[in-house]
Amino acid sequence: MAKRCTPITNNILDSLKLSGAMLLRMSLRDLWRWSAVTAAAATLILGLAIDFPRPTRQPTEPAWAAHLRPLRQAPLMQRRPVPLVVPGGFTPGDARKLLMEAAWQRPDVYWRPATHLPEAPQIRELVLVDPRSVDRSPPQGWRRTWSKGWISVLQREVP
Amino acid sequence: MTGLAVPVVALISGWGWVGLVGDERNLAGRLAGATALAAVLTGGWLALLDLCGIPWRPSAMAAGWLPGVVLALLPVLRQLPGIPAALDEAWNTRRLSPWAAIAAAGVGARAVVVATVPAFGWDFRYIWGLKARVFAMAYGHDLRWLARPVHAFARPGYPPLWSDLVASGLVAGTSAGRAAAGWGALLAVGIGAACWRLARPAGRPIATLAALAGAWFPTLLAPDVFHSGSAEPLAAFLFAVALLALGRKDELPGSPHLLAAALASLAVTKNEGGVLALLVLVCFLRRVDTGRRVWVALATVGPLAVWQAAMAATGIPREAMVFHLSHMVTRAAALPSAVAAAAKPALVLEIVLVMVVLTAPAFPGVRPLKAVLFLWLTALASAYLLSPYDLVWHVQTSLERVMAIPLPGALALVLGTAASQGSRRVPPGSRQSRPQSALEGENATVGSCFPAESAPDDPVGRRFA
Repeated sequence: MAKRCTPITNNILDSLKLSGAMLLRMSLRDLWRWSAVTAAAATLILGLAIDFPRPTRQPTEPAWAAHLRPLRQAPLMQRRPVPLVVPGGFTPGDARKLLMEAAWQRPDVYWRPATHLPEAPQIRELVLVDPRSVDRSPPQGWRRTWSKGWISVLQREVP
Repeated sequence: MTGLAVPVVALISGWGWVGLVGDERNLAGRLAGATALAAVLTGGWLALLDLCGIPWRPSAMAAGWLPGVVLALLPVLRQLPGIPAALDEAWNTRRLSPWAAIAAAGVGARAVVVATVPAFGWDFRYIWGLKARVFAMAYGHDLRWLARPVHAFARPGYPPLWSDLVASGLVAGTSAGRAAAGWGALLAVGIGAACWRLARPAGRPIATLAALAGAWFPTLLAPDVFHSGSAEPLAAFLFAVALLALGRKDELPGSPHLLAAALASLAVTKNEGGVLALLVLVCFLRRVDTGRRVWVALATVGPLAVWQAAMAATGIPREAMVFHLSHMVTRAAALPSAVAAAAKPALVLEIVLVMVVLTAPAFPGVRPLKAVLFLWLTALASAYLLSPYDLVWHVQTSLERVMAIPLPGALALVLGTAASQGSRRVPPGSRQSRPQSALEGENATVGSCFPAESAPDDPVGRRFA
């Protein structure tokens, strides 16, 4: 169709196409600019909405942390491997959480997670985490040297 | 507020050094640079002490800050007004713009809010804060503790900069939560200042919006168990400073040093930070002066290499990955639905921001940023495909905060670059037609990086911000 037009008409058509493209390009840039500014404003608003309760918000602890907090006072040697016996009543996930919390409460101790009392005679001390351990006498061959809440420190009895 | 003492001293030290490593006169730019140097100096000095076998005692730690503090206080010692030149100038000329005041108040408010609540997130309790407590108790990096398989839950292979910063507060006598809150407050200020500086070419209202959006960015420093005390704000801040330092050409001595410092510290802030630092290095390296490229590259790769060597030497376990084709294909098919399942308002907003950055008009300085962001998202997706963990759980617990890392700086940069370009309607050759963006073309000059100093409506040529 353009071949049938005069050169002047072609020039006008080309100019119109160019102007249209420029206008489209310009409006797309403006559209982008406004969308960017709107997104930044939305970021600020959402950030304020999320953070606004913070001044009244207190740090929260995991639910299981309370049971292991007494571990801080437990008489344990620093930088010594200590078995952390979590009986099989706990799920593996819960046992893992208790191990992590024990590491947080006492990072100075090299914890060894276990589900049973160790049989190796060279292991003379351990920490037992059990909600019912306070009501029970310590296992045979072990004596309780310290306890609070769920936490008991057991030492192997010397024959 | 005891947790603020260490970050404030480190900031004063960084302020002393920032005048030597750069020629930035703008207060926001100097503040961002000083904050970055505060983190770099503290982490770098602790690492140096560790390599030399010197225990992390308060006195040894303070020795690292002392030269910078002296440099910062020199004006006082010389009986000058006692405040840095930029602040002094602003004070004397009384030209603090209302927009700058709004930005300062908003960013300062976030810093105060962050500082008031000790960090308590789960990742902080069992990863970053825990390692900080271990390091502080051992008076250095306890690599034996990290190497024990039982401590795999603490991500022992993650580079340790954030834990080191928290440990600096512990060594000084505060708790881990308060130390992280103090550093978090400083990072909020740093992100706000860097975003202001990056977006400044678009004008003060846009710069104010960028600073506030950066400082109050959702998920970064958010007060919940998934975000509080995490390492992502540090990485986000260092990425923004790296973008800021890139724009300063070599006519200004010191800008490559700030870039090197930002990338070096970004590389040892989480594994994600390492990937991001390497991507910035690769995509932006040709914008660095040829003579400084080796220095910037070595500074970026060096600390990461040292950490990797230490891990290899002590047997610290690396992140588990599954390189099995069927595993990856299965997870690739499930990834969209996992992302959809994790979609909360903050994540949706982050996806929108990514689209905004990737669709920004193709000005020269924005192209490498788009490349960095695209490759970063590709790397992130690859990490999810290779992860051995349950995909939905992994995406739900990490995507939102990890994806936030490059966004405050990237958004501020595209706002400053493309918005200023689009808004200018001046004939070519006039004074205003020079490139104004921080990251524009190879011929960018000092003036192009700091348009505020030469704005035509400012006859004095000196502005506060």
